[in-house]
Amino acid sequence: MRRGAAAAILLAAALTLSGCGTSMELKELAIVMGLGVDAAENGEYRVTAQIARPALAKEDGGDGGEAYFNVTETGMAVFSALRELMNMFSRKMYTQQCDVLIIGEEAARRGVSDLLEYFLRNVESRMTMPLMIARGTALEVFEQTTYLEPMPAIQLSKMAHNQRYTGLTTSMTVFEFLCDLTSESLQPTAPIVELFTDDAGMTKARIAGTAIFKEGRMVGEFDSQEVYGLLLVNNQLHSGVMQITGLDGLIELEIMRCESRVTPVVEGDTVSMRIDISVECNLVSTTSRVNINRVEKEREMERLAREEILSRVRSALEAAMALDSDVFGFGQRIYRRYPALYGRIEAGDGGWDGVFRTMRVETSANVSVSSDDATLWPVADGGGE
Amino acid sequence: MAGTNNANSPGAFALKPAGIGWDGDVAASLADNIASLRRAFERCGDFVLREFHAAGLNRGAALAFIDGLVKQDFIMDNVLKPLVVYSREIDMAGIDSLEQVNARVLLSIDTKLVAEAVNALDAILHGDALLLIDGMPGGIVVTARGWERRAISEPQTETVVFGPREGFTETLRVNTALLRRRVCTNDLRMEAISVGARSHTTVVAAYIGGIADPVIVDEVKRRLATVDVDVIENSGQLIEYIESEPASIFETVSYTEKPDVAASKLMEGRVAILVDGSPFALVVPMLFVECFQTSEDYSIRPFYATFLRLLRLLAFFISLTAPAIYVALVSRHQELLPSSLLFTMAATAEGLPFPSLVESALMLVIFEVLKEAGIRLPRPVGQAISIVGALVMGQAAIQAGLVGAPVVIIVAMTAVASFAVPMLANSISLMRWFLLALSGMFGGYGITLGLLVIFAHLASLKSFGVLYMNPIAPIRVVDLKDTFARAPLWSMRLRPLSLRPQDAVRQRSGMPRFEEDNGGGQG
Repeated sequence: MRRGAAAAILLAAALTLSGCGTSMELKELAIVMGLGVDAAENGEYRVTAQIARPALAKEDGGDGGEAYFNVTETGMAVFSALRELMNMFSRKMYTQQCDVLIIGEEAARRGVSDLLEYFLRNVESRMTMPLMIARGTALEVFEQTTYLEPMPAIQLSKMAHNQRYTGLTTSMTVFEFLCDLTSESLQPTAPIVELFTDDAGMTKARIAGTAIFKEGRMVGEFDSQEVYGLLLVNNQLHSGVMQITGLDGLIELEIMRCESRVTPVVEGDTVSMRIDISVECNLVSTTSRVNINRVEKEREMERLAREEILSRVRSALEAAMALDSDVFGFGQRIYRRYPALYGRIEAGDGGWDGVFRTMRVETSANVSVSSDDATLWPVADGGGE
Repeated sequence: MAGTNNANSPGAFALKPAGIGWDGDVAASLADNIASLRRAFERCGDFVLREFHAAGLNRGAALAFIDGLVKQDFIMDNVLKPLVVYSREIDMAGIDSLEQVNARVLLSIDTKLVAEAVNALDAILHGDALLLIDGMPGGIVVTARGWERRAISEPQTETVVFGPREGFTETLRVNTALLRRRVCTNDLRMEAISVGARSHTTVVAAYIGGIADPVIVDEVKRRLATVDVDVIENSGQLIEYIESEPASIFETVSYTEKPDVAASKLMEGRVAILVDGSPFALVVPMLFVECFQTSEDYSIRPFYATFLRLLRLLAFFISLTAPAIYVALVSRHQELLPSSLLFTMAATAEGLPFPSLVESALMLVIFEVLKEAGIRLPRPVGQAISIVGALVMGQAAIQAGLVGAPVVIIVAMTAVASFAVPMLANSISLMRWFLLALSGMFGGYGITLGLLVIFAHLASLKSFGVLYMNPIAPIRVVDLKDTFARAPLWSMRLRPLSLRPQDAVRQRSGMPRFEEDNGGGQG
C-alpha cells in the first residue's frame, strides 16, 4: 500500500510539475519558414516573416498563387515585432520550423548583437538555421522568385547550406555565429545574398561575397579570393575549385582534402603566427598542351598551386588586418595557449587589435596534385600517345 | 496422487460433493444399488441402466452408463457376452467376488474396482460403464469411452508454413497422447486433478520429471487444488483462477494449440496444464519474451529468425505507440517533423473538423469495432465487413473531410503491427489508449512517462514465482540467446536458467564441423 501511495504521488508530481506547453493543432499554426530583420527608423527593427501556405507548398497543390506570403512589422526588438504581427493574424506564429534568418545590410552594420539575443534566449528558435546578410533589405530578398523550391526561404536556406562545398563563402548557422560572436577575439563572418535580374526579367537571389564583422557590427566584405584564404586557414574548405595559369595554359584543380595548422609562436612578449597548410588536389581539366604527367611538370604545377594558395591566404590576412577583424581567431589561439600573455596584450597599449593589425604571419603550404586521370594529353591533341 | 496411467480416472481423487446423490459404499444388494442409481439419475434422459442375468454366475447383474459417451459394441462384446453368452466356454465355478469376475471373466483391458458410491457415480459421469453384480459389494468400472470428437486438425491460431501442423483437440486423452508421442520418456509426468464442483473437469498438469523445478510444479498443483468453482469449461477460464497477476492487463500464463510447442516448452522446464474440453494447453511460468517467439523461429535458420524477432519487437512498439506519437507530433512537437512532411500534414489538416486526438481516438474505435465484427462473423461475411470497413469507410471518411489521410495510415499501421505479436495484441490494445490519453494531455513527455510506467509494471510482474521480464530484467546473459536474437540451436547449450531447471544442460552438440566439408577441393 505504501509503495502504491508513493508511486501515485511520484506520478502525480511528474504529471503536474512538468510545465508542459499547451497543444497546438496544425491548422492553428502559421508556419514561419524564414525570418528577416531590417533596420527601421528611430533604432527600431522591421521584422519580416515568410509564412508557408501548406496547401500550395505541396507539389500537386498548385491552384495558382504563391506557396507563401510575407508579413512585416516594426518594433523595438525582434520579439515585440513578432508579437505585433500576431495582433493582425488569426494564427500563432510558429517559428520552430524557421529555415533561415536574413539580416539586412543596414541592420548588420548597425550591430547584430541585440537582435540575435532573442534567438539565443528563446528556446523555441531553431539555432541550426543559416544566417545570411542581405545586400539591401531582407524583405526584398524574401520577395524574389525561386527556381525549384516552393518559397524563397527554403531556397535561401539550401543555398547557404551548399556553401560548405563550394568554397565561395563561409557557411554560418545562427548557433555558430553566436559562438564566434561571444568568443574571445574571434570575429564571425556571414555570406551575403544579393538580388539580380535575370534575362527573363525575374528577380533572383544569389550569393555574392562574405560579410566581415567586428564586435557585432558588419565592417566590410571579403571578395572570393580573400574568402578562399580565410577558409583555407580556418580549415573550412571542404571542397573547392582553384584555377591557376601556367604551363602555357589554364589549369583547373579540385581541392580534395585540405588541412591547416595554426600555431602561435611566442618570443618574449612578441607573438607571431605560423600557418601550415597541406592540400591535396586533383587535376580536373587543362588547356595546357604539355604532358603534365611528367614528373618535372607535375612539380611545376604543384609550385604554381602553392603560390596561388599562399597569395590567397596573404590577401585574406591583409584584408582582415585592414578591417581590424580577427576572423581567423588568432587571439583565441593565443588566449587558450598563453592566457597570461593574452591578458598582457589586452591590457597593453592598443589591446589585441593593435597587435593583430601588425602581426607577423608565416605561411607555408604543401600541395600535392594527383593526376589519376585517364588521359595524358589534352583532348585537343588526341588524348594519349 | 494418481500416476500416469490413470490420469483420466477421477476415482483416485476426493470429489467435491455437489451433484452427487449417492453416499457411502456400493452395496451388495443389486436392488438397493439400482434404486440408488435410479434416484441419483432421476430425470436424466441419457442415463442407461441395463439389467440382465449373468448366466454363468447365476446372479442378477446390471450395467449403468451414459448413452453417447460409451462404445456400446465394446461393452457388449467384452462385458455382456462373457457374462451371459459364454458361460460354457469360461469356467465360472467358485466365482464369488468382483475381483474374480474382473480377473477371470471380463475381456476388457481398462477396468477398475470401486467401493465408494461417489467414485462409481463419477466414473459413469465421465463416460465409463459401471458393472454391478448381485451379492457382490462394490462395482467394476469398465472404461469404454467413445463419444463423437473432433479430429486432430491444423490449429487456427498458430499457423506455420514450415513445421508440424497437428493441434490439440477438445478431448483430454487425445491431447495427452499427442504430448506423449513427442516426449517418449517416462519422465513426462501427467498428474490429474478434478476441478469444478459441478463440471468435474479433469485437469492434467504435465511436466518433465528431471527438468522442471519441483517448487514450480508444486505451486501449480497447489493453485489447481485451491480452485473452488462450479464449472471450468475452458482453459481460458482456469487462467483467471491460477494466474499470478490477476490485476495486470498482461497475460502471465501462455497458451498454445500446438503439441510441438507445448512439448518444447516442457523441455525448457515449464509445466503444461491441459484442461478436458479445451484445445488450448496452458503453459507456465510465462516470460514476456515468449510473446515474440513463434514455433517457426526454430524451424528456419537463425539469421532470418533473428530478423523476424527484431521485426516483431518493432511491430510491438509501432502498435503500442504509433497513434500516441502521431498525436504528440502534430499537436505539440511540430518542430520534429521535416518541413516538407509538415506541409503535407498541415495541408491535410486544413479544414478537418476534429483535433488530432479526437481524430485518432475515433479511427481507433472504428478499427476495434471492425476487428470485433470481423472475428465473430462467418468468414464470407467477415470479409465483406473488412472490405466495407477498410476500403469504403476509410476512403469515404477521408474524402468527406471527416478525418485526415495521415491518421488513417497511422491506425492501419497500428492494426497491422499488432497482429505481428498476437500474444500481446489484447494488452497492446488497452495500453494504446493509455498512451494516447497521456500523449493528448502531455505530448512526448506523457508518452515517455507512460512507457516508463508500463515498463516498471512489467518489471514487477511474476509468473509462478519467476520474474516476468526474465532474462532481460534482471539481466541473465546466458538466456539472452533466445530473446532479441535467436542464436543457432547448437549454441544454446543450456536450458533457460530463468526457469530454474533441475538439469540445466540441454545438449552437448556444438557448431557442426565435418571433415568432408573442409578437406580438398573436389567440390
